[in-house]
Amino acid sequence: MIVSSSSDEALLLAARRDADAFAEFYRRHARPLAGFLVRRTGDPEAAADLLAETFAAALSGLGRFDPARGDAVAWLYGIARHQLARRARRGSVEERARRRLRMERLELTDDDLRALEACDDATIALEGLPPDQRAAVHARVVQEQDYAAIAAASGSTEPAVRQRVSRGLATLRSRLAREEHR
Amino acid sequence: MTVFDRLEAQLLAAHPQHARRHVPRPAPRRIVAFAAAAAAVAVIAAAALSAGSSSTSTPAAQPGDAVAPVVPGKTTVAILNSTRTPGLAGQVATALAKRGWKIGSVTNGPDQSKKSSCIEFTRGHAAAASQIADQLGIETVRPADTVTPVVDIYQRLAGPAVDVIVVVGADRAR
Repeated sequence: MIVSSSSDEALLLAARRDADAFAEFYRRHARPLAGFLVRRTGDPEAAADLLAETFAAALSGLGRFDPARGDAVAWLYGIARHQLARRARRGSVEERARRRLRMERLELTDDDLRALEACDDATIALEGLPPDQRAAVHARVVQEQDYAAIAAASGSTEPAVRQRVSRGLATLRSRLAREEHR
Repeated sequence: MTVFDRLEAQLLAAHPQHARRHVPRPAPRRIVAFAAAAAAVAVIAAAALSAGSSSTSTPAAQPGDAVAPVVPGKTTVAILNSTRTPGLAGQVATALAKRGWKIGSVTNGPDQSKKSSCIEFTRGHAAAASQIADQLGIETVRPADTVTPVVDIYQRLAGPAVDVIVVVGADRAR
């Protein structure tokens, strides 16, 4: 049984045999990663291709994920950066992992492009925060986890997590207010 | 479905747990399937006779359906709210729990714009599905695999150990 409070690492290990664990991992990270890719490429279509290829490569490479060598998010973003670098070198997005899994290329509608771009806005807002605040805000607001679960997953206490979330949100609010005045 | 949902469905279909299911299977053994169907008809007929007053409509038995008496307490029912009205799945879950069904996931469906409710069942649970359909007054009952040939998104949301899935549509928002 996959609980939503499972750590990313536990999910990836379970995902080798359990498709639902992989789905949960995907749902946690697809949008933030899409935001990261849109930001890095400036092109939502390329970002969608990179997103699909990255998760396809992650799915094919689950057996190579080793929690002793780094956390799950770092592993996922490592794959994404590798795909970004390949695209920069070759001028096109790699399709190897998708082909191996027989995944067809995603056709994008205007709504899809808008959804991808919206991920970018959220990432930009979060990226300026200190890492501990960013992680806490992301877990609480984007993933809607409860404080106890976030505390357990990050080896911290509930009051500490609450403080990080509230500080992070306060920073975001003041930054948005500043931008509106520009 | 957003691009994120479509990619998720693709990835799930490619996951070894599901991909294995789509290896072409040998042709069904007709005699066995026929025997199972005949047995199913016999059981249903017996049930209808013994129930007397209750009118039970049952969809045609699927080849490979195990024929077992319906035990509500041992039949896990997932309920997916496919409308924008909050709480509909919970209402259905409460109604079914009162009738003794075991309630599994109660969650949102993949899309929130279903007009009519439907019921899906996994292999061996056609009779339970049709009882639930009667209790809820839902007309559409079908085996779970036919919705999306690649990967049944309802079944995935409902969880692995589910027997019957109730997809709640706007027709219950009254």
